[in-house]
Amino acid sequence: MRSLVRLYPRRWRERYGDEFALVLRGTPPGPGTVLDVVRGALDAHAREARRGPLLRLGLLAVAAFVVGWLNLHTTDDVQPVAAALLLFGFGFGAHRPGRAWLFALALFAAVPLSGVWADAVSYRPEVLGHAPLYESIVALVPALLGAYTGAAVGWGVRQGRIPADGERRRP
Amino acid sequence: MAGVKQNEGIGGLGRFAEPAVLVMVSIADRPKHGYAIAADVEKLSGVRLGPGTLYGAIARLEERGLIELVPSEDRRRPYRLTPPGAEALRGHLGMLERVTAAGRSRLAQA
Repeated sequence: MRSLVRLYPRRWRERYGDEFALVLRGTPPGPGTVLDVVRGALDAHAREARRGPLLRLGLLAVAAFVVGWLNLHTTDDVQPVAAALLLFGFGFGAHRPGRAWLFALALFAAVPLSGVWADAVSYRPEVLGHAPLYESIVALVPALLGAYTGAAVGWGVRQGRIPADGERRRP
Repeated sequence: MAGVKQNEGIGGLGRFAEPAVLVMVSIADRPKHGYAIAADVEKLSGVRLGPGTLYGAIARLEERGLIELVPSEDRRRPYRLTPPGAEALRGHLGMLERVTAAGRSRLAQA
């Protein structure tokens, strides 16, 4: 019965595993208990799966909003937008190297989309005249650069960990 | 996100609402660990909460800030109601009292 605890996600086991095992030990064994534990494990996995992507999507939306806001309010100076694209791209790329291209595109899209939105609603911030749409393609450069630099660092860190562990395990 | 969840109270717990209320009632007077909660709930209501259901409810209540861990060296860690948890439980029990009174009254008229 104790092995049923392994059905739960690792993070959940670290938090509740010990006390859960104690309660499980005191519960009469049977199909009902097994079913209850399996249902609980499925529920815990579903909640775990929801938590990660939602948080990441939320952070990506906030980052894209900041990039869009900077695009509309710092038109005379492209450096803040480029710096934001580099910084956010690096962070997301390092976090999920395999999705670096997606993060770069999502962050870059905030630049032309903010311009389109400002034109559509006739929004005129104090710093007037955001960059023409065709010029916003330039924003792809810092977005890709940041995301793939982050991805390279992320990959490097992950690759570095494996041999280090492997060496330690060797007799 | 945590703030939003705290405001959801007991109502947003779905199928875990009933076990969650039983857990909250169990620890309303003093902190208890998981095993003691399960035993108390069974004595109180005749309902035996399986470990999966019990910890599904505990995890949700803790996430919403309605209960919290009491610092302990023991492997069996006790939980207690937080002030928002006590408030949410009072509100929920008040609603149940109204439903119970209405149910009794209507049954008497039948």
